[in-house]
Amino acid sequence: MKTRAMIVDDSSTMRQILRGLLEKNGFDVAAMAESGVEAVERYPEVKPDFVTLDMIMPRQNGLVTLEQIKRLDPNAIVIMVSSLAAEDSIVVCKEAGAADYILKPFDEAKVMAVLQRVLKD
Amino acid sequence: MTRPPSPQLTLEHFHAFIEPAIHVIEKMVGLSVRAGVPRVGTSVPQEETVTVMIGLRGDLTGTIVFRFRTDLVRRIVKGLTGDEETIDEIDGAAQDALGELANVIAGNATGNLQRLGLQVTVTLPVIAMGRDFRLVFPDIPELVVIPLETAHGDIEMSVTFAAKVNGDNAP
Repeated sequence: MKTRAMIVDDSSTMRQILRGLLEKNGFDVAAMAESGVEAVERYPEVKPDFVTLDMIMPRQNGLVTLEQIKRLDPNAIVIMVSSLAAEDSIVVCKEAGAADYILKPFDEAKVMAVLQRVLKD
Repeated sequence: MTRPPSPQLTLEHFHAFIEPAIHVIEKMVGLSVRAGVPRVGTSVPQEETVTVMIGLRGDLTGTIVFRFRTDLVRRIVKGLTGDEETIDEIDGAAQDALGELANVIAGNATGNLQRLGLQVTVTLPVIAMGRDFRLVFPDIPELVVIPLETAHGDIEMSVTFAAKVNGDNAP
């Protein structure tokens, strides 16, 4: 059975890029959400094996979304995928339980290396 | 880490945006970019453009503005999405692609600014389309325009900001 992903990003362009990358590498994109609120609502029903989560989104940012998903499922594997390169953004997300933090723009090899590591742990 | 209360703005602060602009456009769009000669001032586009504005908040407040000519937009969207279809109009998908490109450049710049001792975050992009309009930033007088030169024409990146001093913005 394929590993199931949920992509959370307010940009349709980024959702399309990530979806293409994950499907090309054998993952099942079980759901895509365009906001943190939608992601939290749909998480219990979708039960993905991992989530890719943007940081800068309208209404509710990625950090708040991460905290809410971790409250729903403390074992949730959430990988932040963000353009914010400031070190404090990375630190605060990891402290809140993010499995890793991928900086946009990313390359396929980096994403796959992170996924292999976090899904193996 | 102790941060200076009133950081002096130098060329390094502008380079904090130029370096990620070149890197991100090359990596995401596949276009080679060279930074042209910066100038101070504003311009009024005489042709149809898409303008993307992103706010900067924190130790610096200001705005980073990208202006794309519509013919270049088609090349950029194709590079970003890999969509081979010709774009007939600058629709929501094209606007989203440009907003994301600008967001990634601005977000990457926050890392460079942090290395200069400044904690800055960015806002969601705002997009305007059209010609013959002027952007006005009444509280922050200096607008530095940095042309990003590509083989398909220039992208105009403008940066305007002020350092925060005791909770206020110093022009």
